Amino acid sequence: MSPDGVEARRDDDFTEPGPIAKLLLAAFAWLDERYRIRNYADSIQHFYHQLNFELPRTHTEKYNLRVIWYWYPLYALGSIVFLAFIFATISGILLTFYYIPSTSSVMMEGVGEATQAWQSVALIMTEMPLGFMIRAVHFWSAMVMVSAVVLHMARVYFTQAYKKPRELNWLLGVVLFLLTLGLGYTGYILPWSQLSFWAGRIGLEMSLSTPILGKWLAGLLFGGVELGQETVTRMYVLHVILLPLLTFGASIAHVAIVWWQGIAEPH
Amino acid sequence: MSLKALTQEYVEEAERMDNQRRDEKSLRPVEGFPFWPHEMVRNIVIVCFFTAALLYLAAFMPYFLEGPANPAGQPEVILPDWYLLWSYGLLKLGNDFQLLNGPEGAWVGEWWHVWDRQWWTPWDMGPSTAIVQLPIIGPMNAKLMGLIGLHTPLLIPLFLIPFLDRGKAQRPQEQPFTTSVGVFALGVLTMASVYSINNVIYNRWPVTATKFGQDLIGPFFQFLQWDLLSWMTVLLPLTLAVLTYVGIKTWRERMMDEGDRVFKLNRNYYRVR
Repeated sequence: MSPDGVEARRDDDFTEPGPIAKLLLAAFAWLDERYRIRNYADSIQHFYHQLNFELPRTHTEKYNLRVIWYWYPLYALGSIVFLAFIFATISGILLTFYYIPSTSSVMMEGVGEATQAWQSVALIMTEMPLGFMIRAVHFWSAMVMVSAVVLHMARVYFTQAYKKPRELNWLLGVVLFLLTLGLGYTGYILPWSQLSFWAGRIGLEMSLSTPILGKWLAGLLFGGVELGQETVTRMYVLHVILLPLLTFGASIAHVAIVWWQGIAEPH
Repeated sequence: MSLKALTQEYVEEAERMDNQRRDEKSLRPVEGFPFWPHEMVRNIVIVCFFTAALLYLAAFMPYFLEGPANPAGQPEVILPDWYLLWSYGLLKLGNDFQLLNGPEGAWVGEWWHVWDRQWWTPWDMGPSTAIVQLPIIGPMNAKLMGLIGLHTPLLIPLFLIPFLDRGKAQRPQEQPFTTSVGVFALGVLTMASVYSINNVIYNRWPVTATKFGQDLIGPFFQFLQWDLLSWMTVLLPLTLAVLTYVGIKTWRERMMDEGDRVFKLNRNYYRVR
């Protein structure tokens, strides 16, 4: 018998199953006859057992602590990043309905010459019901996401949680950090405002300055050596499809590894 | 021996050692405490507050929209968003410090021209053009110094950290060097961000444009005659890092001595179940 009383949680004696259990069993049998899910059920049960009975005990239980540890908020930064990403995704989908990635010239009253992209953002801010709020949620969740990523990285670095079993997760985290910066940058370009345009010029100059690959890189990321319609299209695809997908996949893997390994505790 | 047999042997050995530890009631190293539910339950509370704060911010501080892009009219100050200021600052540092290339006719040899975009551009057009063009290329512009010379020392170590820093220590007080390196990196990022708006700062506080070091260093190392802001960009992070290191070394004993509770926690181990 284990000294921790794990065996006590296992009920060996058979009891009559309740109505819900019977219903679930019937559903399970129905599915199993068609898809033979008992193999997967076995592995899920095994996984459940590993999670609940083979991982170490809680921090408080282990050290018999009676105080709330004052560093706990720093350990929630990762969750905040993930939640901010979800918020940004939802508000971003709503913005996508109205945003037009085009640099065609339009004349606007009181503004003068503008692009269709800028006009669509202006319409989101003025005409779309609660559009300003949705854009603000998108903006603030992006800000929170970047700041929380940086703080989360600092927390992990200073508590040295990247050490032995967690090296690969740190690498995944660095990739996620770079993806977050990429999401921020591509999103900054999209409204095609004065700020966007000149920030785009900085990025274009940077990629042009890369040795050997310069022109090729500028063509790939910005669609040429000048900013224009190709730039907006590329930034749009990067910001709306490619980078979010990569970020989502990588964060799922990141969290799964944390779930599997448990959280490193520095005290 | 086949791979399968080797693997089998390893697994058997590992399980044998686990069983042995279990029988002897000996201990194995701490690995972590569960993410679910123990950590997540706390997180959910904090995350609720965060959601409320986010909606509050969005409702009362909506984001503005700058005027439409005008490719002909470059504004006086052009900036990326705040979290990329450090990168822009590093570009400016590479351009302004002229660490390796120096001003025209400076002490640095011509082989540094490989850092230059102008040096590489002819090679895009093909070797024959390059051979004709290379001798007439003017002084380099050091964009690449900022792009590669200053970005890679910050980004490459990020990937190497877990493999460079090993051992069991898990608190900032226990490893003063690691901690001061982290403080240095944060300081560099902050000061590079500040440096990215150097023109604004020179206008606002002219004293930061004062040049230092002529008498000290002499005309031979002209590239070191930086102004006050540039010196601060280099020296503030260094000072902070040194202060952190010395501080931790001095007060480490006191920091880690909280009765026998905190410091000895790391020495505890889990029982294998």
